[in-house]
Amino acid sequence: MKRALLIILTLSAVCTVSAQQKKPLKPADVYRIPTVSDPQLSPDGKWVAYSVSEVDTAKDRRVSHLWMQSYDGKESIELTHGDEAASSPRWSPDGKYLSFLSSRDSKTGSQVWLIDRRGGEGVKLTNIKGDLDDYAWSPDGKRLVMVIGDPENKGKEEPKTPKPIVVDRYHFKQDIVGYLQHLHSHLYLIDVATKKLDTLTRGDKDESSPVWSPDSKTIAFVSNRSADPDKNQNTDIFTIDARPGASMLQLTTWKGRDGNPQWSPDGRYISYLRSTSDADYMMYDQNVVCIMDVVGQNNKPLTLQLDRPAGAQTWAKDSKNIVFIVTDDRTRYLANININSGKITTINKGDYVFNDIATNLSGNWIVQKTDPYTPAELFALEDKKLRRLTFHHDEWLNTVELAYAKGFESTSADGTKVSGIVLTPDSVPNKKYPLILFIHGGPVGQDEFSFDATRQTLAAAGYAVAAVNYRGSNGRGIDYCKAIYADWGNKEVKDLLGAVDELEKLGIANPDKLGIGGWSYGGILTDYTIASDTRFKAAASGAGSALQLSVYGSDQYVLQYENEIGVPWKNADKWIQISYPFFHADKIKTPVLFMSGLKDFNVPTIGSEQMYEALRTQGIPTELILYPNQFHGLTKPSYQVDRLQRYVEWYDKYLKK
Amino acid sequence: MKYFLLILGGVISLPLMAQTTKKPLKPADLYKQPTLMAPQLSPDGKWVVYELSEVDTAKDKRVSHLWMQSFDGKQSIQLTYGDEPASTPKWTPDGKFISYLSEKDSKSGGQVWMMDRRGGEGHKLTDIKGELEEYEWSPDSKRLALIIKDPENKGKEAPKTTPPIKIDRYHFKQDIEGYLQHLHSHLYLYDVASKKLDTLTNGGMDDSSPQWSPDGKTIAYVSNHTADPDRNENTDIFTIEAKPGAEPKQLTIFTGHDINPIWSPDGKKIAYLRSTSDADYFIYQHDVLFLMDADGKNNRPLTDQLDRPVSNIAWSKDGKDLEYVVSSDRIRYINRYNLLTRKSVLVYKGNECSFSDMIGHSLGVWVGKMSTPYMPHELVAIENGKVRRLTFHQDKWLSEVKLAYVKGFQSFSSDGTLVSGILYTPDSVVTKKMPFILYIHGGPTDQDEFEFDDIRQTLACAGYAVAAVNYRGSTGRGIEYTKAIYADWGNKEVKDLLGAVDELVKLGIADKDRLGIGGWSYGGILTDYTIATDPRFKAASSGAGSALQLAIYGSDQWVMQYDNELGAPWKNADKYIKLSYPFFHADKIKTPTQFMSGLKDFNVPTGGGEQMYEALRSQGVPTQMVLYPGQYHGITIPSYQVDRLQRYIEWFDKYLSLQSPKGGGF
Repeated sequence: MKRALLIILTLSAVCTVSAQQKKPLKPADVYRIPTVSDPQLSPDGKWVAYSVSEVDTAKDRRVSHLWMQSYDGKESIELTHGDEAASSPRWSPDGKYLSFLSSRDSKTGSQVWLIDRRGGEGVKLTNIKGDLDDYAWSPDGKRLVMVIGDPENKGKEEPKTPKPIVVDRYHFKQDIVGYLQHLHSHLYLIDVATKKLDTLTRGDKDESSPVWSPDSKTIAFVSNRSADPDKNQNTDIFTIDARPGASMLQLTTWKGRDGNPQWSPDGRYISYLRSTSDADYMMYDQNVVCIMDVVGQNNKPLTLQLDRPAGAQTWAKDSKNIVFIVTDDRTRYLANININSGKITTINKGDYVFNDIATNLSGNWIVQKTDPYTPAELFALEDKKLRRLTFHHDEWLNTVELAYAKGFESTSADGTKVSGIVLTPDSVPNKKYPLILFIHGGPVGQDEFSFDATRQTLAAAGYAVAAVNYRGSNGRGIDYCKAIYADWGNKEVKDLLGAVDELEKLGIANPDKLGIGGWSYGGILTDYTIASDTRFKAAASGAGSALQLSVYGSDQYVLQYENEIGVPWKNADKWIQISYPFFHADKIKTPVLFMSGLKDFNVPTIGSEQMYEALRTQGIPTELILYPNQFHGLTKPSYQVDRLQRYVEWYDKYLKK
Repeated sequence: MKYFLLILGGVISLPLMAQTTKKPLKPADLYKQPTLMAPQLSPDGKWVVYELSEVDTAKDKRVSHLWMQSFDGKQSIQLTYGDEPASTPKWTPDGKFISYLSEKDSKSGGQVWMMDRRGGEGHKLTDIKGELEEYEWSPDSKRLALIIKDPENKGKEAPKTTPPIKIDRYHFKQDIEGYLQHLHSHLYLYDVASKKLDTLTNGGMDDSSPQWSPDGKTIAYVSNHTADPDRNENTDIFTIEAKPGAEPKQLTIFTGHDINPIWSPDGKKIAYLRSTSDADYFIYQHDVLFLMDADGKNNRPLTDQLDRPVSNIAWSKDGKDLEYVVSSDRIRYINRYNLLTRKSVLVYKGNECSFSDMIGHSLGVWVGKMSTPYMPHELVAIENGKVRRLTFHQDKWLSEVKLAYVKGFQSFSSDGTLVSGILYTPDSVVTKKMPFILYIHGGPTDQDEFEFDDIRQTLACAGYAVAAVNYRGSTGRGIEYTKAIYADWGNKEVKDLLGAVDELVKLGIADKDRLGIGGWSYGGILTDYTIATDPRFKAASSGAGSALQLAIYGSDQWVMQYDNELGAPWKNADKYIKLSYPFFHADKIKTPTQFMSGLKDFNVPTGGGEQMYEALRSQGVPTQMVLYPGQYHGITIPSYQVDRLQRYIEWFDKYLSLQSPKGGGF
């Protein structure tokens, strides 16, 4: 299935701005929304470096630059400028440098750059061929470990005529990456003083997520070294001595996923995330925080009893406590576990969402947080309390009027309790609104109390807008998530319709003016729902599909299909059943706007084309909007705005007449 | 369905060259082959101007230039040179100029250029925005009738960010053109002296094939004026006065297609081609030669008894004869219909050759293109039943290669159907059983014929017996033979293909343990059908094919065919599923298969290959998929054409050679 909730941005700002001169949020306001990400605490704890991306409307793209905020909140400095983006800030452990990635002055993609903390502009450190994915400073500040993807054309210049693509892998398509051949990512070491590059790993597997042991001697990393990594998700955690020619040691043997290793500051443990399921592939899964000692013994899951996805686990400097983020029923909260007692405590929880945690031996904590009225900003976490550090969103937020967001619950036809969020133009709805049910993707994901540019814009256009965490969503436990296994478009539709019923009953939704839409699995569910119920007067199905047989072998999910549904030639009936919006397209009466990015390998354009044609041939009003050169997520700012405008126009046409 | 045999070149040369230094044809020889097209006879009959394209290997593309050949055969002159191609030559009716199309010095696509016959280089005449698709000289040489497609972005410069594509049409994808929006092709008039452009037609339909009446007052053309031209193929023939504001007059009302109007020299009649079927869409049909009065009255078929496809129609200069080319059982021969006797008689028919682009020269004399199995297209004159060759562009490279031997054969299918085929063998005498490749044509409504065939020649030269088989669905054997596969794909075709293989095994030519199969387009589709029916093939190469036919509904250019022939999938799911048996029974396939596709193919999209690749890959049946970036349904980049041939040979060698990794001892 599909995947990836598309949230354009996120953060929190105190919404105490004067109501004068404010205008309702409109699609073009997307151009004004910056994105704050990747906070990094300086070794002395006095500064936070991070990335801010802003739209360059002339170039029609987002450009990220580095910023630095003093922990005391008093100073804010932009560090890099210009057309060329800078990202992935990292402090050298001795505090002398701030490093970052940039493609400036490079013919071969991103390189590591250094800014001397005493002053001066950045200087390029590396000159790497291939795709620099990730890097980390050794604790002694002398070396970097880097993840580098093999270069295209073996690092030579692209030939005039591109070579034919020869495909022989099982997993051969992947969104953004394209057709998968035999380029792999490996670990490399570079000595900062001598600039000497050493190869640490090689072969036909991929390595990722390198982290240094505190003594700078060992690197833990993640790799899938099963016979055919294309056929399962069995990544494990390995360690290797940080010297060329060293051999690797496998620490985990769980047949599901093991990832995100983190050394404890005292070097005794590695915490990591493990999947709940040990199947070759399980879409309906959640991560468990685990620890083990550094040779892979005594591993134990720490958060199983929560029955919630756990992530971003971060060691406290005492090496006894781990702070992590729990995804729970429309929120993501901060929790702490003591590894000795196993006791989990909630640090901070509310109708908002934490996305990231940063700390180090300074003992200061930085978190990234968003709420329904503020895209993500950075906060200091001080004794469970939050102190806001950055204010990048205030300027544009001061000029717009946002919709009001509140939670609601509904009960589906089969008795299932479902959580949702409804946005209304006013905080006290005194009339029935036309409703847009805007459905999240994934399906394993949740709608939560975070800033949501799409739903905010739709609500500002005069709609009640609902987000519903149908079964298949996470945050409500693994059984709720797994409920839709090999049974797509059934329970989800019940849950969505139950929520609509509830909003009608609450007097918020006008039953005669119902709209529906979504992107990715939200587009797929749009198709399922309008083929099940004709009550919707307008729909917008983005990056979706209905004839699921057509995406076998033509998208990136073959492993899921064969594990969950079975091969089509042995399970045709099941495939046909879950393709009911296409095989019963004559039941659809709803005018539908279909959309797709033309380079989408996640849910390829054919998913939209086929349903567009099914409606078009039957004379049901329909349009298909195609975004050139876009992947599953639209990234070009003018296309993001165009999409919002088209949503509003399409719904207005059928729901406001 | 899908379709078209990809023929790269084509012409005749006598296979009697010295055997000395000749080497068997190899894939890279493709780079050496010129392609001759678009011959046009000068008004005085002394010259033929034509287009010759050759490969520029540095730029990895074919570049066409104009050549001129004297009718007496004595002089051959290249007229244009350089990086910028020149194409579509025409003579002004007064014989003073040769005009042609070129994008040289133009920011808005191809323009009409003029070359003075008294001397001097060509110069640009027009400056048109939009795509110049066709042009025709008025008889007085003063005006041009142009077909211009509406320009992208309304003729303005393309914005930095490509605008989103908004689709609201029923027929919304077309190979090469891409996603179809609302750009239409219309008829315009261009005055040479004043350079003034006038609009003749407009609206939400497309106009094509303009033809001036001999008196220069009227233009006949083709258009579909039904309520939604996306929903049928009901083109008709119209006339319009050659002045702005004139109203079109509809001459034909047949609900199938009426196309290709040509005025008789006296302007009193119009000959044209009409489809055999009057359905909204019907792929299994052929064209019949028709004649009507210039006002549309008294239309009548001239070749309905023939039961064969007719093409390349032309009037004799005296207007007494209508020449046409007939596709019949592996050849294309020339007939003429005499208006006085009301009878067709043969102009020329060879046992193993095919003609096209015929032009009336003088009484009993015709000029056109000819190809044989040993010669890509060259210009010939047919003079009172004899062929005289005019051009010799293919001789140089042909003199260096040894070609395979080509002969016809016939077979009976298991249901008794007689099927015609062509066999290629490295030598004329076959002394022992050979590894064998059945290479299947696309279409399906087309035929393999006696003409130069790069792909099969190259495969045969690599040591294989190679067969071309005109399975049911092919043309040239009558409309019933073509229609036999209507809504029943992958059934009778497979019987015919297997019957041909049986016959070649029986003849001691094909080694039954070393059978290969392959094809492109409908030939790739039939490869999938055949290997899912019979496991006897040890290697297959399926290019631009598909097997899960449900998956191409709405994702290719054929929705009108599907809706008409198979019905809507939600009402006829069983039929779609049945026609998709290679996918739904992929576990029956044991043949190692190489899949191929051009990544921009909207005719049979890449998904067709991807799905079957994955079905085999998942089961561990040896397979690979080769994708050609930026290519449509037909592969056009020369290095990719060569790459494809090389990969064919490597794949078949890998699974069909005896022991040695290379080509099994030939």
